[in-house]
Amino acid sequence: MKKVNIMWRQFSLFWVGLASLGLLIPAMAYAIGEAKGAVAGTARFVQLDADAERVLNEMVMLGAEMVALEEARELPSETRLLVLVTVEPSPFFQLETIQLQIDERMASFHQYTETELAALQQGGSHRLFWGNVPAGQHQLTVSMMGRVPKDPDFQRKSTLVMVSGEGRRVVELRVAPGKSQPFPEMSLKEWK
Amino acid sequence: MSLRCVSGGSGHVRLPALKRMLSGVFCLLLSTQALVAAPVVWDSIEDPLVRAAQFDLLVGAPFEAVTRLESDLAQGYIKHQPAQAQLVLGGMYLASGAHHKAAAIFAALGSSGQPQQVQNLAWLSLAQVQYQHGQTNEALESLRRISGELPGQAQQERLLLSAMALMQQQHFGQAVTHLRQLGQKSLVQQLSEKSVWATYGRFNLGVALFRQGKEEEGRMLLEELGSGAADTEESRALRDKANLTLAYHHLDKNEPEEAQRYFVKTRLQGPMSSQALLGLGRVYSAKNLHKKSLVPWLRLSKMDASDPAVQDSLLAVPFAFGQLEAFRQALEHYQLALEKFKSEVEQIDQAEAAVNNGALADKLVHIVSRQSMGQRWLVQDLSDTPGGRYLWQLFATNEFQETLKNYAQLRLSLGRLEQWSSQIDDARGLSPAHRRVLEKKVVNLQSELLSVLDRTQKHLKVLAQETLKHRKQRLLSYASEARFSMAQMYDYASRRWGGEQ
Repeated sequence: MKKVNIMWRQFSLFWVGLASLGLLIPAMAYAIGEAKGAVAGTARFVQLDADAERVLNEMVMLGAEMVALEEARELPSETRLLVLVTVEPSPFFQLETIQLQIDERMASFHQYTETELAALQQGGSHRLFWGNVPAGQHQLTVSMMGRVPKDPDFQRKSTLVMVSGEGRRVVELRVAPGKSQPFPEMSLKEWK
Repeated sequence: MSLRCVSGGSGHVRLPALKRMLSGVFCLLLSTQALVAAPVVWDSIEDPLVRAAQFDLLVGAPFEAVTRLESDLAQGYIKHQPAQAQLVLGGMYLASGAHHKAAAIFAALGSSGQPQQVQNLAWLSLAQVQYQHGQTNEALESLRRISGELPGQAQQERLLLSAMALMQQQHFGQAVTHLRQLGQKSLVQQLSEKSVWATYGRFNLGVALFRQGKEEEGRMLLEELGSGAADTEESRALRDKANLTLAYHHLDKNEPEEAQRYFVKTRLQGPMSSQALLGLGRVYSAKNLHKKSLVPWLRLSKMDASDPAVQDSLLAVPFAFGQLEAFRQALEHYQLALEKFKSEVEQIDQAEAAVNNGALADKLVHIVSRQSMGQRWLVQDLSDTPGGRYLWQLFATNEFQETLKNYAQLRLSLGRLEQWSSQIDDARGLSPAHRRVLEKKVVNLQSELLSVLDRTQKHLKVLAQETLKHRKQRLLSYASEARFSMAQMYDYASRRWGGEQ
């Protein structure tokens, strides 16, 4: 019986070592294989990534040319008007829609999605209107609709008089928390 | 609901379980990338045209954002703070994967005569790009060029990025110094703040302290992380990772009691569960509690056999039975392991066939067509692709994600070129010379795009083939090991009992 126990112990020890090796050797072989493949793969990836970036950057530059071409084709440079909307975050006011009238005629109406509102809150500026306005003096009227506590149909209106025909005009409509919270204030500013 | 990942095989994986696993893995992948992926918070962008480009970027149209901004810059429309516009432009190139271009913009700004704050932000952005692409020395050099303190979060990012880069270079002491500069508050207080940077910083600092031999300080941070409340999958995965780090640290020091304390804190449903079960079995085995070691190992052995930890458990279970002198069960489980290894090898063969005959590429094209440009690919989206069970680790790699993103952008670009070609044809008032120049650009770009697209598709295929090959080699090695152990057992039995029988 004692002999059997000794024999088993020897076998056991051998087996413990074997099992440990069993778990280690395939893992080591696997790791070596992985490392070799990784080196070749990384070299391929670096070259390919650089080539893809070069082609995509050429796409961007051609895209910028196409943007300018499209603008030049559609809008005479002297009478272009761009109206942008920016919003300062407010815990009280939730913007819903903005309407732009030029000389009392509807020029643009936009209902904001959640994604767009989030982009505005993070400092983005929405292109509300990008078009041609005949040379001369014009009145821009902007109506903003949204929700504030106890008033789900909150509205504000603001006007600006601008002169077209002297080059590209950029007007910013800024919605910001008002002095009397929670009602927001709206202002129109021409960028020169 | 079950998902058969490879047709004809016997392996079924619970889809929600696989998705959870992939989700967790992706979270951990982010843990290394989040430190460099977080964009600098620009204090205030004044020019409304730059803000309009930001809007495009934020609503998921990065190509429109960058082309419009380039167009506005080229036409001289950006009149207010043009340096700020360049910083934003660099960030946009970075967001669309054009890191060389982004790095060039940041480097130019950093060396320009712009105000110090603009230069500092440019150096920080450049360091982030360099660190992300493994250029640790260059990243540290860029960080050294920052003069004075940065505003707000940027300063926190700077210190943690420095620490990460130093840790990668094994300079743990200097890394700790940087992390200690995080504020006037005590280190633990500072790192306890609910900032993703602070959380990852705390984990990495804990590991760094351990490696430096400052076990108590390291343990304090990791224990706090491992027992704190976690309300997101990302933080729960990080908590598990902290507990596993402590557990394996003690296991390697042959302190099974201590290791056990941390293994049992790890979730059995999370992405780290298989590592926890494997380690827990090792704890009991080290304590010669072989019967108890069978509990986690048997549980693990019934999980998805494509997981390397599960494959380990398939060999560990018969080992434990052998220790218990239950030779019949040990042989049965070796036989079971062999069958599972064989089944997995067969499924890998089928996955290889799917990759070779283009089924994987077809699926990727399908996913690409559903996604808009600029989005980060989610590993979960790729879980039901052919061979997904074996390729999810590949899907989670930066190389695969970046290559797939390039692939998507290149395919979208082909469509854009066709559209531009029509626009050029229809454009009135365009001079013949200008038209010829534009047409030539489109034709040249189409040719280049097709070439790079083809190589990108082949690269994705090679990556999948190599991964499957390595997975197969591992399984074949394990199968050999199981057969060898069985032969040893038969040999022992014949020597011990052969005469009697």
